[in-house]
Amino acid sequence: MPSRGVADGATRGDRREIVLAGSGGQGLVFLGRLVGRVAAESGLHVVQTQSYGVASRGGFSKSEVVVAESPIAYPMVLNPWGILALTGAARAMYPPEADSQRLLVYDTYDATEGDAPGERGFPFTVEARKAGLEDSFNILALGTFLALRPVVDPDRVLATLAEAGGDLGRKNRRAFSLGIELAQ
Amino acid sequence: MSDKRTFVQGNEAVVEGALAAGASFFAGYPITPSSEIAEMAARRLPAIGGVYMQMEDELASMAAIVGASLAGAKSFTATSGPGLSLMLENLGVAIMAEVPCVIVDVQRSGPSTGLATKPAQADVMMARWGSHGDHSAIVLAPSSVKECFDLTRRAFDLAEEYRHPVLVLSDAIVGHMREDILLVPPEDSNPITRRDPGVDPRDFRMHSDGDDGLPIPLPPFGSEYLVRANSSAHDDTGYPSADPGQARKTIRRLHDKVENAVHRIADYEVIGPEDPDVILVAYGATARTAEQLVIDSPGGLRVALLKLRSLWPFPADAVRELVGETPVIVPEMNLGQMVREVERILGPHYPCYAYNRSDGQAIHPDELAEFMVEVIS
Repeated sequence: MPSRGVADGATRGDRREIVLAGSGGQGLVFLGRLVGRVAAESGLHVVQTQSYGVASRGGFSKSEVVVAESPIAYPMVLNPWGILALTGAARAMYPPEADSQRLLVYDTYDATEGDAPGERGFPFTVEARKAGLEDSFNILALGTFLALRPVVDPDRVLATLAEAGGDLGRKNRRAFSLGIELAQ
Repeated sequence: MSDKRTFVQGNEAVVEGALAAGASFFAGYPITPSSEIAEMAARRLPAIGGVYMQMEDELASMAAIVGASLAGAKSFTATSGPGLSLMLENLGVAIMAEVPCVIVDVQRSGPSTGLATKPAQADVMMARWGSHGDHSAIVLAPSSVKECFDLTRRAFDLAEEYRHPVLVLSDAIVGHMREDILLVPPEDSNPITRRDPGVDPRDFRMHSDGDDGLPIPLPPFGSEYLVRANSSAHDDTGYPSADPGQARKTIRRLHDKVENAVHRIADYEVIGPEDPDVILVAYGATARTAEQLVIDSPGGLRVALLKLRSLWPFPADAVRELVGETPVIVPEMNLGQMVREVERILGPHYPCYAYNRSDGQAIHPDELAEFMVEVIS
């Protein structure tokens, strides 16, 4: 029915935006859905979008999450606070920006090392292999990323991962905790 | 379903909205970017005693939902532009025989196969005029996951009230994004249920109106009422008639029942200041871009958004009254479809501008802001 709303003092500054980027098949949409679900259940407004197309069979792929206290207008990322890059190609998509609060977190396995300002590399692939958690490598990386860019409370993510029982649930929780440790 | 906020995809919310409306039959042929609707309907409908039918193509899909509705079910299908093209013939049957049903078009970039995975808003005029012959159209356009739920839910009510097929015109952005929403549990939904016609079966006339001025409720095939669903010109019993006077009456009825109800069907929202410098008239995913400009106030301009949740019948009087003499911009992910209707009702000298993008990409707030500041300042 016809109605009148107001843009209740929301600003772009209210938005906390992240990009989860890498290669199709790395579970980037899964990570975005996980963060989004935790945000929604935390009482926050949240929108998750993704690149959609043949990228899901390999090639550059990404999932974006916007979190805010007030309702979200434009659903896609305008100015990311954090970027998680799980491939070298994904890292190259987001060159460092001077005077930005943006942080790019990347996997050193598939990228040239040497951090520019606003970049931090972590050996996600290597650490996941060492711990026997290769299948949960994306969750490990998310743990590190959310420790540095907490768009949602990492403890709530861990609690959500705990809902899934079985071997995979246990591995994911271990991987996420290991990721948080890696950030420290 | 609990009352806590959930995190749902637009296409999923369409199915939730359909279930809340009492839908029990889906027939379709999955197509990107609408496929999640078919997938979820296949999972959910059998669990509540409903029917999911995987059809051989979109022609059959549309035919099946018309048939299911005639048999008494609230029915729907979901597709994208290429599929809607194939459904138009049987959409005409639903219009002519006054059969309620709901069609969801999750728009993607065309023409033809086009950019199969990318969004567009280029089916606006197909939704209005695609099926041949004089007819009207009821078309709703969601811009959020919540509106995917609300408008699909309402589409079924409108279909029943006006005995007319109703289109939900979504798009690949709205259909695929996930948002936090509070879903209304089906038991709290109170949808319009299909009533008994309330007349002696011997006096039942398929194409007459009830006491409320709306088309008489449609009894199911196989009941004691004689139901003639006729795609040819017919009298008010559905019996074929080639009489010009009768044809005039039938065509006007199909047209006027919707067009004269525009004030009841119209759904829109005004967001922003009451004395804006510019009004953005937008719908679907593009309304979200426009709403960002309300927040940003680029160039110090006071920006308001007139978000159209119903596109057809076009709420001309409401739009005229709301815009007053304020300049208008109509941004669309097409080469200019709804803007033609806005221009038509505001007149040739009105300051009305189109911003168009047709390359499978969303309109970014910064590009629309740049255009707006340039034409308004």
